[in-house]
Amino acid sequence: MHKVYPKRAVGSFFEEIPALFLVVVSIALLISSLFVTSARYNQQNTTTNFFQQGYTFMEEIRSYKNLTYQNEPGIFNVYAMGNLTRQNITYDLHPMFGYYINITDVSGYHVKYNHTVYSSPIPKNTIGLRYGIVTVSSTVDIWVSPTEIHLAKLTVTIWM
Amino acid sequence: MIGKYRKYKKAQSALYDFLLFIPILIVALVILAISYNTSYSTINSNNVSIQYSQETLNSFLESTVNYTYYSTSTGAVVVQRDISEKNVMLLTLYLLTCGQSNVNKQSLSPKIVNSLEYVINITLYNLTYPQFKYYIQFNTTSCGVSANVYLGDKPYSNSLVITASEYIPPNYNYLNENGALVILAIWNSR
Repeated sequence: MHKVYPKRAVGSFFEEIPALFLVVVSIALLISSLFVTSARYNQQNTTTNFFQQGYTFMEEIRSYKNLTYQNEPGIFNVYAMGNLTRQNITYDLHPMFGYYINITDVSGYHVKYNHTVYSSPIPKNTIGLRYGIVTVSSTVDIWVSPTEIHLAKLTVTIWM
Repeated sequence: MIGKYRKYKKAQSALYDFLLFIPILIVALVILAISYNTSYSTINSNNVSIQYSQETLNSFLESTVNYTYYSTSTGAVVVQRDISEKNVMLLTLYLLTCGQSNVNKQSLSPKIVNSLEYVINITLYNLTYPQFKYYIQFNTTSCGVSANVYLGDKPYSNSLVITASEYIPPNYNYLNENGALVILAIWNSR
């Protein structure tokens, strides 16, 4: 009895310890990897969503009815650029984040029609921001008269 | 004794299974992590870049130039004030193909301030952000002559170049046969 049953049982148990160790390690590795992948996915998704918000906000400004010439997206009426104010943006577009909008006239004309509007200055770093800072840009025309159209770049920075 | 060891070796098959399992597990997880990372960032940035270049080209073609000129053997010809960029391109191509023989084609060069090609190039240069490079190419075949104008930088072989193109229909003031094909390319130089 002593020779057949107990010795084998004890021996088998100790032999399984390395295998058990590998099982524990590999399951820990699997769970931690899934956590890392999931965290990365969530972070990427959040960044993408916030970037998408910035892009949508910029497109809303490009087609903002109080700013465009004949409701044509991407063509701003120079005489309506004064309508792009913080009050109007808050009332019409309801942004839930901080923003800085800059229109820079890059045409060769001597008179430039630049315009800037912002909720507050752009944060110097992302410390304390939940989603960070996103900058998106586009190209627009500034309609001055039927024969004079200035080219300009529209830069929108948002943060939250 | 020998029989006993043989029995114990059977237990080690589980150990060999896990030694095989771990590398497969690691490789699978690495592939999973990389695929999540690349698929999201690439698709979104590409869509945005394509839209940006198309919007830029459309706005650029509609914008106007306050002053430009070219030279002939009899002197400088000042082009109509507030001419659109697309008509500047058509005029350039017209002068290169159907234009009179006394046109000084060197005067179209982007190296000469306020020349036809200069006003196209400088506007795009001012428009493009410092980290981006661009080229614009416009061509036509008219009066039996082909003309192709290329302004800007040459992309590196490994750069991701986003292009937008537009056909400009004939404008009988400047090009009386065919329109012109315009291609604008933008890429990140960093």
